[in-house]
Amino acid sequence: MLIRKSSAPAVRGGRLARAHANSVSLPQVMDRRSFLKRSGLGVGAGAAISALASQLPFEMITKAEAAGSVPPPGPVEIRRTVCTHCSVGCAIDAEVRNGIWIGQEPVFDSPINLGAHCAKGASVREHGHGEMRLKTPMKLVDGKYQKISWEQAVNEIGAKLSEIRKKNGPDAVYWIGSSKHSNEQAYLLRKFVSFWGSNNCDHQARICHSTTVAGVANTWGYGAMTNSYNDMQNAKAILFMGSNAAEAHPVAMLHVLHAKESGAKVIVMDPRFTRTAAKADQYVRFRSGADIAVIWGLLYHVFKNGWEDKQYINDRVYGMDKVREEVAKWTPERVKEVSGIEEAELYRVAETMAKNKPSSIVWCMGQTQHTTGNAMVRAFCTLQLALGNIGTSGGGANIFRGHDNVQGATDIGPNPDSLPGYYGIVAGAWKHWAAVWGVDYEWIKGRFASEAMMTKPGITVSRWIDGVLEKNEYIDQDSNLKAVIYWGMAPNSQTRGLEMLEAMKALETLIVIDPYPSATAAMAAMARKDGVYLLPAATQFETTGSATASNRSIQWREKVIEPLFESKPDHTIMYLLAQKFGFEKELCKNIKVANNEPNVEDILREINRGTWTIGYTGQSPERIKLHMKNMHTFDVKTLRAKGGPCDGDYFGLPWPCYGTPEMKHPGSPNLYDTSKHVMDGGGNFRANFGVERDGVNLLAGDGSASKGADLQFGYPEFDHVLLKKLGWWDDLTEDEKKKAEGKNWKTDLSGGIQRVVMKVHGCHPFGNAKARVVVWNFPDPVPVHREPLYSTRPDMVEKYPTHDDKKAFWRMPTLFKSVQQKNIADKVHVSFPLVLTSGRLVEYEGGGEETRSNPWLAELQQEAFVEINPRTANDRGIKNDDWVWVKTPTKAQLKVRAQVTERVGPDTCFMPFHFSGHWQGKDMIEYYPEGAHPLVRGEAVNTATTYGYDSVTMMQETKTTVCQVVKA
Amino acid sequence: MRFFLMAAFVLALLGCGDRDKVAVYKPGDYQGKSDAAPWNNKTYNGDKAKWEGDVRARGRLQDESRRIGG
Amino acid sequence: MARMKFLCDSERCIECNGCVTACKNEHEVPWGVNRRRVVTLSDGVPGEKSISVACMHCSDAPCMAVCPVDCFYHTDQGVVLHDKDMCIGCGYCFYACPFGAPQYPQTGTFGMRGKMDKCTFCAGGPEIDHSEEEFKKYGRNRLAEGKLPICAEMCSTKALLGGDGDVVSEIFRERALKRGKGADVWGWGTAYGSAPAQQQDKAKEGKS
Repeated sequence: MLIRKSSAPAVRGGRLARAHANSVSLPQVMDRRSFLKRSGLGVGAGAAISALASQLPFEMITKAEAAGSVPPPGPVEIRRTVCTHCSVGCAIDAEVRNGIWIGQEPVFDSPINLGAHCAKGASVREHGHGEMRLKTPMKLVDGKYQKISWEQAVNEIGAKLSEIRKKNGPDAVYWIGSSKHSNEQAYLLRKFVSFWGSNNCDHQARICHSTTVAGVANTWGYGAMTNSYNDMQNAKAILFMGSNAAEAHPVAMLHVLHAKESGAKVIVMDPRFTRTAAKADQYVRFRSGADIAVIWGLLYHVFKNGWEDKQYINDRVYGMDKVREEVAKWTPERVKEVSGIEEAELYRVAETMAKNKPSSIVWCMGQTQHTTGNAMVRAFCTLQLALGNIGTSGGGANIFRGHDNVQGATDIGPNPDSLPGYYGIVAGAWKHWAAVWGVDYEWIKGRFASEAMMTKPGITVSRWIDGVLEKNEYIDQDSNLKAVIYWGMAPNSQTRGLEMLEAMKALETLIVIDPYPSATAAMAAMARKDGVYLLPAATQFETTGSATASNRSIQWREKVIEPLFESKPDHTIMYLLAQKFGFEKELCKNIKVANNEPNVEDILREINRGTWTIGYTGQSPERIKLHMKNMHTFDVKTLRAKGGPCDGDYFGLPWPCYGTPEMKHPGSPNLYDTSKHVMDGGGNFRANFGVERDGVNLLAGDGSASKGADLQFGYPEFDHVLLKKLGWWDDLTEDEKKKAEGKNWKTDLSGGIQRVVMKVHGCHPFGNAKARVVVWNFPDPVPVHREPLYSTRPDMVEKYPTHDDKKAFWRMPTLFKSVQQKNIADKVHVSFPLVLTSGRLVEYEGGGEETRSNPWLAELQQEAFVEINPRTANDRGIKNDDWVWVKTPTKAQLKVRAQVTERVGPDTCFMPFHFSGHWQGKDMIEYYPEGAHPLVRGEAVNTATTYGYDSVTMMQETKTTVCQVVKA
Repeated sequence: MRFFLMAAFVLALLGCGDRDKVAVYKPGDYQGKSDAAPWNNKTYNGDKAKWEGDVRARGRLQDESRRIGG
Repeated sequence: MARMKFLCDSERCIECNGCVTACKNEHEVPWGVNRRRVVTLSDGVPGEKSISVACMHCSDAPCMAVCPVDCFYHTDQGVVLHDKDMCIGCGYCFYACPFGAPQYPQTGTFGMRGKMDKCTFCAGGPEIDHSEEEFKKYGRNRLAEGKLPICAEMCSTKALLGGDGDVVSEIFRERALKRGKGADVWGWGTAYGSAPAQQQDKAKEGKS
């Protein structure tokens, strides 16, 4: 028997934990960046490395300890799971013996990551050993966290929330869910909040890709990445704008660099010279927030040179003429004035994209997190439509999502404006889901304050603080928020930290449900003396369930280990709370419950039965599990299985995977691809915006349809009427007919309409229309450049002002112009002359508490920092590694190290957003539950970020605000 | 003083002693320490050829082109 | 006979540190000791290049030559290992090593160096294979399981290759041919005395 890394449960984490248990201050190990700067690769490296030696004991050199507590050797079991740190979906084989996670092996068979991992993925085993977890339920008593039992916690929380519900109504409680929940947990939470009687729920997608989802869905149908990481291997040119994949999605670079070596041109446009830029053929720097000007500048060259795909635009795009009018204004001179880019540079980008087709684009939060985020992403979509790159292998809009299941949580999770599957919250949507859930619609309605509140989108997570603090007469619901539940979300990922602290003070109760205490616990303990509860949740390695990767592939995680300490899986906690609120029977009507744990497979089957809109219907637990076992049979470039038990399927049945599981739809690898039959994963743009607009036909042109479709022209979405008109009704079985009568492709629970339309007639159930580049229901139907609310350029603000203020927008008054104009009047650009932007580091994820608690990661990034250009630094007397204060107009100031680097231009400062645990120069360690603080703490950039929200989705502005930096 | 000089001299001489700087590795018998060749264990039962074949095959897994197919 | 080598392709390395944490995870290397690191040249400006560095298991290893207690040895597969029971933590090997690979935990008292620690090519050390002692002193012995160093196996972009030198060279040669240029195979000449240059030449020929 091989002996490896075994340890008894009692010594979980053993050496690691002991090494860190009491480390209040970490060894002064040089951080990576200064290490790099100070070391050459030759002689210098030696001296630098010697400084890295730790003061900590190194037990490898001591005599091995008596292994008295080693459990009897048992068989090593392999449990296949998926990394929880980003949306790429890297498979992991966990080696488990006697219930202990003893090893982590690469899964070379995975068609997604081929065994590869970044720093985070290669370190996930620490989850099975980490000591910095929230170990038991806790309650804040007199400013200190005290251990309490689960029973007491659930009783007290249940009583308190019920009391608030009774006194202030169900909308007085705000539920922040998680993109790190599995699909089943995210779905169950939306159902849970619905039965609680509110739409006041949200999750990370709001502040990550909400503008993308709204923007692209309104352009061509679905709010998701169109192609896949893998498909980028087929691209001839790839343009990254607002994405730093090398740090945020490192394993995506495996596919990108492979494409590059096969001849693809890689272009990076970004205010910051990122590590992705370091791998590009062309890097173009531009002023943060000028994205629309830049993209219209690109299109200017495309149109001027006739590089657009005229046939494609004619057949498949509505409104390009309107875009031409706007683009004509964006002459090279004007683009340079706004963005700083020289004409020749931009011409070269346009030429590369136009002459190396299929060409693909990638964007992330660099484009989405702006007051004009919805317009920026639509401008980028427009570029791809003009070039005919959407619906093409190697092309597409490759939108890299953030969290491991943010796509899934967006699709079927806790969203304030929609039930699972983007059904919305109109009465018809509620009735559809009530039927799926097997509960009475009237009962659900009775749980809400009123029918009006049932169909009114809830408050967004970006604005919950205003839901607490805003004057009651200005908010669009009866009561202000009295309680907030942070269920798997970091507070430091939301802007306006100073005001958040005030909001935490004002709440009646704050509940944190998380594997880690998280910065929420520390902030809450700093803000108040009582009224805070912490419930330990299990990580995704301690439970089972599915997750949707960015490319819409769904993967199944096996349970690696039992929940550590006293933690419980999120769905179990939902059930326990539902019991307190008295709706556990309704919540789990179709779901078996054992030991208070709802059956995960049953939840997925219920999702399958209801989510027809986006094709979450074909991915039964059995099919997904079969894929996980047969990864080696899938082709890497096409993601399609060649032979074997999954023959013909695309890996993870990327949604839409229409019809019932029995219909065997293979999933859709690339959306809107007319070169394939719909039963081979082909498609076309969605008919979701009517059939005509101002006398112009919105349906696809003649001859433009998916391969083999009976209707080779544009057609509307299918319902029972259209089926009858076409004479296809009798293709349904008698049983299907009964269920499909009066229904459409989205609400027919038999799946018969989808089956007949697709399998029998080769058509697309959602119709066949044009994509629209004029989104008439948005504030700027054709994207228009507008300056951010906090701009360093008053001359630009004058020319490109922001929107007018909005009164009741997601239940909140939302300011645009009044803030921008006040900033001009106050000469904010004089006091704060630098652009402040933020982004990721490869070692950390999101708010970062989880990853900063992992010593293998934490050691690599030990301090928060601000990147500042040498010119800017010298003008301020700042040297590399100096402590500096980063100040913003919120009056917040952050004490961080200066990293003097050319990565940023002289007008811009960059801060990573993963840090928390320092508050304006003060270490918050005393506010964490004892022994559960993250190893690395630092200033959260969002303590200091400013006001500003997208005009469609309430996305927060984080990428372009202002600051001043002074030596500390 | 004399003693110290002597001592220094002896030490200096020791410095001249020329030993073989590269240790010779004897499988399974290294200066009293046990270290077996990687195939001399329960997994491989001394089957060197099998181990070498396995390690080569494993090495090729790092070649993503093989998995991708060009 | 297999001769184990590492190769890092700087055209591929994105400084993601996957290799670093993979190593930490596999061998439970404590904070402050880094058997592998990623170093970057021209950080933050065009031309930025990164390399993952650890013990290269040199053919003619300078550490072996200078060690006053002869604690090093070469295995038949070319892996350079050392005996921690013999190591006196003098630091000579560190000064001799062209890669800065040897690491010394400080034991605390008077800042004394602990015994040297370094990359084992995931081959354990002079203890019984897969024993608790071997793991505690040297880490996991993957080679004896027919597996290769975890850092290379988990590399996010397959920049770091590790294994039989012939296989590694072959993978890299094909890659260089395809892209039409070799990368700087940093450290190969120093470590193995042979010529990544030849491969680059071949790649150039392939291009023209």
